Parts: sequence; C-alpha cells; structure tokens
Amino acid sequence: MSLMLLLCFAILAALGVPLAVALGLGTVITLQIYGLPLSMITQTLATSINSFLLIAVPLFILAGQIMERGGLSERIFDAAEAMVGRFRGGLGHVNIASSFVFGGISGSSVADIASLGPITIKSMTSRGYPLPYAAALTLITATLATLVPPSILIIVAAAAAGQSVGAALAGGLGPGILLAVSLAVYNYVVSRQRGYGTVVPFDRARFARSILRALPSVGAPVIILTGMFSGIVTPTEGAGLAVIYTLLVGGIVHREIGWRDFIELAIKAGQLAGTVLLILMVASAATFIFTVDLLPQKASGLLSLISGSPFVTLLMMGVIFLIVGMLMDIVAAALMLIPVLMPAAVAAGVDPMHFLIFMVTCLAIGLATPPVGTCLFATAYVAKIPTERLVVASLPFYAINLAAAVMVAAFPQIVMWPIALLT
Amino acid sequence: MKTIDRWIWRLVDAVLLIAITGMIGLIALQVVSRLWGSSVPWTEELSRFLFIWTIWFGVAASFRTGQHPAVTLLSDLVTDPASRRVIDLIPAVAAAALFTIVAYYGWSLLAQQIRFGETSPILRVGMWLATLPLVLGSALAVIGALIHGVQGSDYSHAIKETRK
Repeated sequence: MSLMLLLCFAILAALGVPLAVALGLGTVITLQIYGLPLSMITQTLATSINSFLLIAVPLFILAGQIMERGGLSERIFDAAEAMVGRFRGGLGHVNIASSFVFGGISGSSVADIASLGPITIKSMTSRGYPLPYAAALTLITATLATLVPPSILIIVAAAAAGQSVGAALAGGLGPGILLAVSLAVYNYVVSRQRGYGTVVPFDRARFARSILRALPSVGAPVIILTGMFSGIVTPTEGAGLAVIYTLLVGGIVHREIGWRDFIELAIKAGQLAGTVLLILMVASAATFIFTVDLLPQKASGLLSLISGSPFVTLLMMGVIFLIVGMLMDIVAAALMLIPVLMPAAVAAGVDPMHFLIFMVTCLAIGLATPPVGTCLFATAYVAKIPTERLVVASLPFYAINLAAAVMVAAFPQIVMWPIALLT
Repeated sequence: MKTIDRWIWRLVDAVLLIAITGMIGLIALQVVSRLWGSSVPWTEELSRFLFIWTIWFGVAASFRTGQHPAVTLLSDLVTDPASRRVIDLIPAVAAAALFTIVAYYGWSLLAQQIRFGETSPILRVGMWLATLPLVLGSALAVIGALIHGVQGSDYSHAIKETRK
C-alpha cells in the first residue's frame, strides 16, 4: 500500500505535478485501489489545519516580509557591519550573524536570498571577496534560517509530530549556533590565509549611529523570542505580536512601509502559507495510509536489525534525510519522513526532539545542493554566476554543514540543552 | 472571460486580507485581555476559523499563480513549445482531479453539518463555516489550476516570484 502511494507520488512529481498534488492524488489512488473510503481524504485535510498552533505560520511569514520591506533587515545588517567590520573576514561574519538574527524571523531561506542576497554579495565583492566565495557564503547562511527560531519548518514539523512547538524552536538554537560558529571560524581562517576582505578602520561615530538606528529593528527578534521562551505568550501569539511590532517600526519609526504595502504583503503571506500548509494537509492524509500499512513498525523492525545505538540509527536516517532533502521540497520531505521514521528512532532510544531537530539540520543542507536546491538556484540567480561555479565554491561549506549534522547526531545535548534552559 | 478571471482572484485576495488582518487583531486582543486579567474565550476559536479560510483561499490563489513547489525538471528539458504546452497541462489536470474529489466529499460533509446543526463549542456558530472554505477553496483551486495550465508557465515571472 505504502509502495503504491510512493510510486504514484514519484511518477506524478517527476511529471511536474506540484508535490502536494502528487502526494494527494497518490493517496486518492491508493485509497481507491485498496477499497478504503475516499471521503477520508477530505476528513484529514479538514482536521489537520484546524489548529491554533499553525496560525504562527502565515503570521511569521508576514512579519518577515514586513521586516524586509520596512527596512528592519537592512538596519540590522548595517549595525552588524559597523560592529565587526574591523576584523579579518568581517563582512563574512556580518553575513553569518545577520542571517542568524533575522533570517530566522522570515522563516524562509529563499526570501532572504532574494531580498538581502544582492546587498550582501555586492558589499562583500566591493571589499575584495571573490564573487563565488561571497555567493557561497550567502547561500549557506540562508539555510541557517531553517534552524534558528522561529523556523517555519520546525513549527510545521513539531505540529505534525505532536511535539511542543516552543520546545522544538528552542531545540533548533543549539545546532543553529554550532553551525554559525563553525562557519565564522572557517570564514576567519580562509579570509586570513587568502587575504579576503579589506579591513575597515573602526569608526566610533558610525558605530554608535548605526547601532542606534538598528535598535528598534533588533527589538523585533528580541521581544518575540523572550516572550515566547519565557512563556508569557505562545508561539502563535508571538507571531501576531511580531507582525504588529514590525509594522509599527517599519511604518511609524522608519516610515518606509504604508497600508498599500501591508495589503500586498498580507495577501502574499496568505498565499505562501497556503502552499506550505497544503503540503501539511496532504501529508497527514498520506500518513493515514502509512499507519494503516504499519509502515512505521516495518521501518523500526528493519532498523533494529541493523543497529543498536541511537547514534548509528540517527546516522543511517541522516543518509535518508540528505538524499530526500536534496530531491524534494523540505517541508514535504519532513512531513513524509516524520510518521515513518520517528517511531523507529524513538524505539532505538532517540528523544523525539533530538530526532526532529537532527532531521531539520540534515534537510536544510538539501536547500543548498543540486539537483533541486531552491536556495542554490535563487543565489546563483541573484549573484549572476553559473550554478556549477556556485556549487564548486560551496563544497567546503557543505562539508561544514555535514560535520555539524554529525555533531548534532552524536551529542543530543546540543538540542536538549537549550530546550531545558529555555522552556 | 479575462474580467471574470481578474474579479475572482481579487475577491480571493480580499478574503485573504480580511482573514489575516482579523487573526492579527484577535491575537492582539487575546494577549492584551489575558495580561489584563480577563481573557476573552472566543478569540482562539474565531482565529482558527479565519485561519482555515486563509489557508484554503491561499491554496487556491497559489494554484492560479503557479506557486506550489514542483519539480520542474521535465519542463526545463523540453524546449519545443508545442510539447511544452502539453507538459504544462499535466499538473493542471492532476490538481483539478484531486480538488474535484476533495470538493465533492467536502460538499457532502458540509451538507451533513448543516443537516445535523453541528455547532462550534464556544461561539456556537455552525461548524459548516469551517468546512465552507474547504469546498470553496477546492473549487477555486480547480479553476485556478486550469487557467494557469492553459496560459502556460511564464518563466521570467516564475523566477521573479521565487517563492518560500
């Protein structure tokens, strides 16, 4: 049954049918062949989005777009540059740090590349970084957004896995910091060795000015995250407040965003959320088939034959995550893999949260790799370099990403410690 | 034809805007009222209703604009315009088939909810109000996918509107 479903899905997807439709139609065909009621599909579609938690998805997307249109993102970038521009590889660090701070907010890596990519790449090349290096770094830092709260992928995955969204978001912080620090170290070493980036002398007046200018913008992530992790507001409420706060800063403080922008961005956020959550809806219908077919039990039976330790189990799953992440949209990949592999991981002694975050860490790598890395194409497009050159320039970064994923698999503390600390 | 097409999606956009603005307002009310000490019980339920409307209309609109993520390998390989037209139609037909089925069963669910007078726990409004967007959204998705499929994919536009 599951095979039937997956086969239909693969054929339809290869024909260019949207992934969500391919999965939904595959489910319909399977239900029909095995004589199960077709009304099941409508039932699961209806119930799977009847959730207050998931309201965070359109709202965070909207907040991210307002940050970008309202000049919040740009000011954070400027402030970061004034802060670390005097160090070797400074702009590279700015690239990493600013992606970490607000990349998370928009929760969408491709949007970050499209909006901030041209600015970062241009300022890096004008300071003596080679174009392929600047583009590759921009590409890799954009995948950080999928790990750092509030990541849309983590929200959706946690909701689908029946885990606490707040805790899962906190769990993404550890691997996010690990990856950001590893990238910064690499950037420092490379810039030093090859003499990338002219060092700008520290200018106290400029430093103070840009920090002051960025203060209201930095408030957005700070307020949202402290509100969420201190338990004053739920993730969904945090998302709602984020929209209001960014709107106030962008509209009243910066005067860069008006009602027309809000109308346009709200509609866009609704459409984008529709594409993300349609995948969630059909994935829960497909999950029904997997469950009836006892696929999770089969998967854990198979895995327990080969390995015993949680670490080895995760590593084996990691290979699957990497391959699927390279081939598929990561939301679709996550939602199809969770019901099948999470029970197996838990049976092997892996904490559900550790499993989820490790999965996201691996899948995010696929965003930046061929053959269907959405971020890869977006970056090549904005940097105006051939995709192959970008891939070659990104190879060392892929290695760092992989090393970070192995670390996350080996040390559950990276995930569990921030959760224990923050929630 | 063109005018009808334009007005349908303008209306869809208007529903999206109202629902999203409504959710933001309700969530603000929820936080403020709770910090004030007297929480309003129905904000959560009403925003869930608005959310369902948002998602179904967002799904439909994204079919019209062709924003749903798909593997474009096949249409990238084929350059001949005539074959390309056929290839562009496959996703449209697939989407139309799926959402016709969803709308059909959604309709019977809707009829059943109205017949039994099923109401929501807090606001006591008919549960059919949460099923209606499913039926409307699916029907609109069929229309949107077909129009988009017939028009064919415009690639410069697709790149500019890089999603996600």
